[in-house]
Amino acid sequence: MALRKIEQRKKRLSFWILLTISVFWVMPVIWVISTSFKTEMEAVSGGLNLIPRDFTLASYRFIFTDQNNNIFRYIRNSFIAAGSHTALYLLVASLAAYGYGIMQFKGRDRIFWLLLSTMMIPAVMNLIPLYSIMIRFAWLNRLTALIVPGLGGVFGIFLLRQFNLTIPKDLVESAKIDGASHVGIYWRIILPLTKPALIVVGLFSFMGNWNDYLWPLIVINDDAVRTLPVGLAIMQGNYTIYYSRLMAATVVSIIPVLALFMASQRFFIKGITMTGIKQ
Amino acid sequence: MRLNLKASNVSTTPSAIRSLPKRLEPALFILPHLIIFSVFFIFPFFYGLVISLYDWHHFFPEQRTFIGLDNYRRILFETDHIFYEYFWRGLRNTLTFVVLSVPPLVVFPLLIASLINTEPRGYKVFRAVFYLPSLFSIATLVLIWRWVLNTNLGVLNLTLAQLGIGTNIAWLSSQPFAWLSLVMMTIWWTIGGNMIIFTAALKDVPDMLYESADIDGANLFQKFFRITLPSIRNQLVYIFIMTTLASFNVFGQPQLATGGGPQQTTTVLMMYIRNIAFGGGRPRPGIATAMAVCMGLLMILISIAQTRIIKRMGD
Amino acid sequence: MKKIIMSFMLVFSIALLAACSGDDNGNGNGQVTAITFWNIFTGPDGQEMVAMINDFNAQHEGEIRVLTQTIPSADFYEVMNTAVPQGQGPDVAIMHLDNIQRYASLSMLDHFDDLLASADFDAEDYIPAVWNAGLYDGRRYGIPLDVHPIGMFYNIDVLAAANVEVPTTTAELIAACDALAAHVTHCLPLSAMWPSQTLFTASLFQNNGVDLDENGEYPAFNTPEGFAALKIFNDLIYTHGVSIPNVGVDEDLAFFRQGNAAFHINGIWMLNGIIESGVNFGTAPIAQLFGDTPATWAGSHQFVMPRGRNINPEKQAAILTFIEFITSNSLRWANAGQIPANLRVLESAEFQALPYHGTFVDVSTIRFVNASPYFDDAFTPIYSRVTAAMTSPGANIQALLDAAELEGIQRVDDALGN
Repeated sequence: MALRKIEQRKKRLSFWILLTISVFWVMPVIWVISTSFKTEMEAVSGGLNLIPRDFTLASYRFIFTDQNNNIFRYIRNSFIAAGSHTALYLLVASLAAYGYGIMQFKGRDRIFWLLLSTMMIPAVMNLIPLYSIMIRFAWLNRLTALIVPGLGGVFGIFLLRQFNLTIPKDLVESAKIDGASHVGIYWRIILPLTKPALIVVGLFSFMGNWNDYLWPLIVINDDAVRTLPVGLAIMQGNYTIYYSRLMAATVVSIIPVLALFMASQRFFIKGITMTGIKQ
Repeated sequence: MRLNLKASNVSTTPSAIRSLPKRLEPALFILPHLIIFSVFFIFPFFYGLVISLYDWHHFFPEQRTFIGLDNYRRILFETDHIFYEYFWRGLRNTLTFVVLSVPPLVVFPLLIASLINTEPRGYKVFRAVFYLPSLFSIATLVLIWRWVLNTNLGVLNLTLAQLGIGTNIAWLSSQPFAWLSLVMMTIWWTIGGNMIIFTAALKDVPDMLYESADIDGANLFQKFFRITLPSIRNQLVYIFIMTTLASFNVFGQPQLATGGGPQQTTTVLMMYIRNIAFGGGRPRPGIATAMAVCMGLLMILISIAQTRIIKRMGD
Repeated sequence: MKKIIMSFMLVFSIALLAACSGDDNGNGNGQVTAITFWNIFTGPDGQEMVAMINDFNAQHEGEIRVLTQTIPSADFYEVMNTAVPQGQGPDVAIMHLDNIQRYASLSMLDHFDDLLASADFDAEDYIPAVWNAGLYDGRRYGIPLDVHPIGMFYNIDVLAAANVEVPTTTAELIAACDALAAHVTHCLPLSAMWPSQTLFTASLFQNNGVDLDENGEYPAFNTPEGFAALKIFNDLIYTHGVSIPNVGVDEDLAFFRQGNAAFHINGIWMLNGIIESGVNFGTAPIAQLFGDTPATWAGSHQFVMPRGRNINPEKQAAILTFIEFITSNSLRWANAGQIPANLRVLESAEFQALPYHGTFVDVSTIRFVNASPYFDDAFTPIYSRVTAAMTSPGANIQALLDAAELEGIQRVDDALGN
């Protein structure tokens, strides 16, 4: 009885502490949303009111109609880049994870751990040489430069392989006895079984690619193929004195990832948990 | 580390005498990745070492000259050279950010995870709220925070003024506020991932341990340091190292929020590397690559050292 | 699972919609000479430029078609660095005056000499410093489009209420701010960041200082004159309270647009942004606001031809036609918030009749920085120190100058290969 009371009290205390901190956590976003519905004059008037005095959609209307504003083009480019990257990576990584996790061949584990150990190499060391390669391939200012190089990533393979290792050996063996080829087993057994892991890997490669800033900043200079993070940073320079418009653009930029997150929250959490138990 | 100890011994099975394509089958699965991996991860690594020995030009091969270790000498030892100045200043600023940001980025998520772990009302909502900012791109993050931290129009200064605490704090253009702001927005942005890892780790700590500690009359702190911390050691090590490496790579926050100011005190090494390699004036990729190699080696050294130290502390 | 797919599809369809509504600037047909033009005008001036280009295209229907792309100036030079060496640069572009010689010295630009032989561009028509900035090694690499000086905007109503005259000197400014204190929240808010470097450069010239040495190589601002030029900003903020400390980029502008500031110093390019705010304002020069020698900082946009485009005679002729069209229409450009570089336009009655331009600056006081190839290396290190001088009450001005000079020297050393 007493223990339960302590437990209850602990919960209540946690609740209030968490509530207090989360107020601070959502405040910046609320403030941004609030500003985006104010007039430009009210936005800079120094008032602390969250409810706009003159509620207006003018900033959104501007964002949607200004011909100098390319935010929707940036969003489209980001979708093409992140979408293609994710689809291709899932293919490449699941194939490799099948190789390292399900198949048996000489030196399999040695190759795999060697691969994994290269994750120690900080990305900064590859930045400039990779740029040189992009020049050689004539990939500068092409979305290809954002889609392909990252396909060599090892971490997703690691996650998928760990998942593959948990699949009962008998399943694969009996399929083999039934005469199934490796391709068949991969396609008909392993892929469906590892769907949750694939979703997790897919989500993270999508988000990683979608939010990447430094690499696109370096390899993409043509506004026609620019992606959202770099484009948004540039808009910041163009609209400097129009805070309400800037905030409307910010809100618009948040919507796609927010939709993705709301639809797949549990996979996000599962995915991060999976990365955490690495060691 | 979990090693797969089952030896893969293909040659004893009858399948070894099957047709050759069968034996090449693994290649079909691992080669697509291996090829891309070699071209975009392994080759650049060695290529970078080569570039760092040249006075490099991105576009005109005929303008590249081999200069041996000159780039390294300049940035490491030639005290009156501009790139020496930039390298060490950048490194100092990066290290400052690492030292300031890593402790809160480890401790704060742990604190929140402990609270969430008690599973109070609506804990899933809280978890989502704290994770939410991790979804934003750096540009979104900075747009939000520049507006919040705006000196005369930002909600933070307006609130502080209302409370009579301070006025017109230049959050992004004066020290120590610039560092404070960068750390603050980084905490806001990135604790979500660490928090979720901690939450999962805490959940796995057997209740039994706490119960027997209760019987022994241990207080909250004793329980935390004697039971909780040792039980989540692996995750703690992982988070500590990954967070340190992530903080080393800091670029977007100072680039977009402070512009490296005031007076280049927040111009981190990554910003110098990018400016020197691709910047407006005279790009010097060779110098920048040498800087990147030094930075990379330092990061490897530090993560090895961290692993060693923590392992020893645990023993 | 279903939800994920649904949301994916939702967002995808949004993206597709955006894709469909996207740009569709098809190329012209065979005989039309298409030239690509990169500009850096992102504000209201950009829209005017696009309108002018549309008019040009309409006038030359079937002959010339100008395809333009706007690149924010923050990225512009980096884009040039990567595009031009790969032959992906534009046929013609806009560049700031202080970058032309550097890019010419790096072999990134083609000169106009052969072209100009047949055209009527006359040095006499231009403000000499603007015209000369486009020269490198005896060849012409830049053709001036405009001049954009800084000047002062003042709130007529506020000044009238306090019965204060527009100040022209430092002493008058301080006195005006004292008199205005009871009538307005802010007197002259000064952003510690952009465009503070232009104010400092103006102050440097007004105090008889110079930016670079006679060879146009090393920094030469670390002098008693430079000291005075920098110190005045610290004094104005912390001794005289002309501005509150720590004003961020464009916050000064926001105050003025709200009617909460008596004065605002900015470039002429902000004109339309201020007209739009509805504040009853006038303009005045700042030529002696920080020192005795009349001088006004100004930048200049110029046309350049990036190297590496297989340029044929038709294309070159088309480029020239285009540049002539735009520069001769620079009165329209003036309405977008710039001052024409062409003296004939400057002296024309139409220009003189514009409500704000004439009082904004006395053209004879305009000074440009030394447009040498080393300007960026030698002078820009002072910029962050200007911010420092404006944000710290007890700033050590001499130490700031020393640090900026040292960085400038080291950068020029490296650029010169010393």
